[in-house]
Amino acid sequence: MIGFAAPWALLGLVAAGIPVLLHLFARREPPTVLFPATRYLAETARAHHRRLTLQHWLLLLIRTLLIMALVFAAAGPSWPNGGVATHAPAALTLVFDNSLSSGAVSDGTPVFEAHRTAARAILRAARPDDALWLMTADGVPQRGSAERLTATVDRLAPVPQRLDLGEAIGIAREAMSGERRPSSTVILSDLQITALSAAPGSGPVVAIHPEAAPVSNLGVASLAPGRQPWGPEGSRVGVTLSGPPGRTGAVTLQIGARPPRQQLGTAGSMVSIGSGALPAGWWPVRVEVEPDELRLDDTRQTAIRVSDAAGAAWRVEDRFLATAAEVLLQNGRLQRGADLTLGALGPGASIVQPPADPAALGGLNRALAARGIGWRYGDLAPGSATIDSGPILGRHSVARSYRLLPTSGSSGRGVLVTAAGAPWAVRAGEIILLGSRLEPDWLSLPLSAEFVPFVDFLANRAVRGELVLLDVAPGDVVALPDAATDVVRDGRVRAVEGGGGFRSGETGLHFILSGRDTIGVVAVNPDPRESELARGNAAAIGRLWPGSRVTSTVPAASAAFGTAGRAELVGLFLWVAGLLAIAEALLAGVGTRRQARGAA
Amino acid sequence: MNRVDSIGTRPYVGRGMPAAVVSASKPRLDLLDPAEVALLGGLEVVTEGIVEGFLTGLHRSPRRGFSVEFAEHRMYQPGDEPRYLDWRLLARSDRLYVKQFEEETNLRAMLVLDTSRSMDWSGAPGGRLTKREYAERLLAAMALVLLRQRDATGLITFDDAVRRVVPPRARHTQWHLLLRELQSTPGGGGTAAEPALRRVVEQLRRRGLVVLVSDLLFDPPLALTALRFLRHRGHQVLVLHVMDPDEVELRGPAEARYQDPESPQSVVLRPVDWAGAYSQTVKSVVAEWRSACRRRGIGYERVTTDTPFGHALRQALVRSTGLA
Repeated sequence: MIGFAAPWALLGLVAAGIPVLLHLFARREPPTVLFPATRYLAETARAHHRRLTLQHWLLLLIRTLLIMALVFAAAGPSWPNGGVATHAPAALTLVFDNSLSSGAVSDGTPVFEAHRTAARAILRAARPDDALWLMTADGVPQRGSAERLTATVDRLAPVPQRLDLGEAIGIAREAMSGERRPSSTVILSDLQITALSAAPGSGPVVAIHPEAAPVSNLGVASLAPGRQPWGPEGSRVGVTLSGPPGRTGAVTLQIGARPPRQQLGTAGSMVSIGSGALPAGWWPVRVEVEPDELRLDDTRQTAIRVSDAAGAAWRVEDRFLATAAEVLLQNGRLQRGADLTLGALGPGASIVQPPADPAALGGLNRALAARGIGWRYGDLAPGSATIDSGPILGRHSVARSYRLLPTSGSSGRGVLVTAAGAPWAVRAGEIILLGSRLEPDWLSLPLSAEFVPFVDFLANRAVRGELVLLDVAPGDVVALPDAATDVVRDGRVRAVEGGGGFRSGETGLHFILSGRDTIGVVAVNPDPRESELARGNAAAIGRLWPGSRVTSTVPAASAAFGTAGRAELVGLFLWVAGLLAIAEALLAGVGTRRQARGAA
Repeated sequence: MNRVDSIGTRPYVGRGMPAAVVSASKPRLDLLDPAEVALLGGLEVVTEGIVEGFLTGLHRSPRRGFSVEFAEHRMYQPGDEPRYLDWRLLARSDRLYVKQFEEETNLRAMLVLDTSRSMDWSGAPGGRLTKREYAERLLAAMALVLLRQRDATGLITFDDAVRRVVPPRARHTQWHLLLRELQSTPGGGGTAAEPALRRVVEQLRRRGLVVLVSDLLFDPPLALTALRFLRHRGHQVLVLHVMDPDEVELRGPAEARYQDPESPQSVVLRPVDWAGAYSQTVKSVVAEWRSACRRRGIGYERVTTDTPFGHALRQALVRSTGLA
């Protein structure tokens, strides 16, 4: 049966009645012309009336048919032709979901291969005058001919990245926005629920999923190494598994080349695995679950820093600071030594608080300047303030504080904590300056439970330079520390700019160097949302992408081009319209030519 | 009083200026567009100009008219009509001689003008003469030519009845009388040529020339019968079929009701559709008239109102009558 791509265009058939209506109702009394030779006209009319009447009706019929042919052509007619599919020129973006989840194997067939087969079929069905784009999990639409894109498809493989299908559709629509041809987005994906999101813009979407149902999958969703650095006694890592609720699997923890530790884990809950005592240094940590139908999410990595407690000296006059140091000493987080001076400027690393006597402030500033420190103490800040640099320290009121000012020529970098937007704690090399004394008269922190961990943070982390542990998904951009100079992965060193962005498509550990010191690590691990393989239903997809069509890969090519094995009849109707137009011109021109001949 | 004026670049000819008009350096009125010629002056003046130009174009004496017989030979001079060359003499003597003729007896001519309503029509009012205006000037010119040959010339005007009758005379005041009657005949109603042609018989007792000027928009049989009767009486008969160019080729608005000015008959049609067929009809009508006249020994010429008077005169007086 004949079908139409744009059936609403058939409303234009109403226009086919216009010539008839004009002929029947638009007749009016013509102007009267005095003409002596009217008897000749009457004689002519008697002799030629039948022929001219026939010519008029024929002209009316041709004009009506011409309008109908044009309307039918505009409606995009097609006719079943035994599976040989053709289609009108179209713009099409093929979103090939080669994200991590496409590596799953369903019913013995990799999901990715089902996508690839469908993509090849669609590209084979493309016409030379189609505009084609291919977009994979990297989110970059690539335009090319069907042959070129097929070659690209042949080279593709599942990647550990995540693909947000809503964003992908938006990018595809943007890529095709300049196209005059009818455009559509075709998605080859497992349509996992976690990949579905609303799509910006509008336009037809055809979502094609594999025939096989999604498999049950168990993966490592997260790996939490806890606060860094670890002490020599070691610590525990927390591992969360993703998968169907209640499903269990063995979790293996591998720290460096040390013997692995195993524990049984359950999907949706965290399992804590102890590391045992470790020597100081950076340790790669790897967690694995038993292999299943989706291998790419079975492993997750991170790194831990193990260091000895800092050797510090403090004064008993600094009552609250000394109390905190004693607590840390008893817990092995500090040891007595001369490496670090707490509360005043010492010969080495120091955590400096302003002197109780304002008269001593000048001397302190001069000593700081002599050490080449880019910060100095300024005047007392007026009024009270509140600590507002959350990640390091909670909100505490600050009753008194000195302004911390960068010296002339310094960059002003190294702010650790701010109060009311102004620097309150800054680090310059191995020196940390605090804007307030660590006493209740100056701020509320010494009386809170957060005080001892804060001193621990200052003594073991901040003064040594910040340790950065970043866990990102492949392809995500992360900001590197200001001091970063290089990134190392598997022995390969790559120069980076401090404070700049870093991105890697490969999973694994990327150690951050500052000169020769390792100051952190970027652990690139799969996005845990890719481990959730449950497929979104057509109704949910329809709500997210209005007017979309969800189908399986079996009729991929016909679904993509919306022609379902039908022959396009647009060309035929246009030909008919052209022939009718020629016939109309010839017939309408008969009178004119006769007139011309008569004049000649 | 003679005066020379100008309108644009064309000479203006006032009353009594025919000599100036036909001088060698002046344009010949007989070859100008009839509508422009009509703007140059009254019927009398313009007609004289036309006739002078026409006779100059003939390169022969006006006295060598239609009723002449051979008189003598003379040496050929440049400008003489080649048709008057004596070819036998040329073959015998290898010299060029032209034949000269001398007046015979005076001819009696009757000019018959259709003044019906259909004649009072122009396809381009203001830009072209009506058929009657054109016919009046043409007849006036013919009358002047004839009278200058001292041929007795008369006039009958008619529409659905005979309106004016001027018996043929050769007096020198006859032309002015004819002009007056031509101009004073009112525009008529329908057309009935047969009574007028019968009336000619009463006016021409001897064999003479009858010139019928009409648009021939009437039923042919009666008129043809009357014309044949004239021919049987020994008269030389010439029919001048006057048509407006817009009657030859159909033009007009997208669709119009065409109304016959002399009858209730009307036709609604689109000129663009019917122009070709109409043109064929006109051609066949003209062919039928021409054929019917030829069968009866009647001269027939069709002239359109944009034809210069000189051409029309030549067509009427020279080619159709066969006289030279």
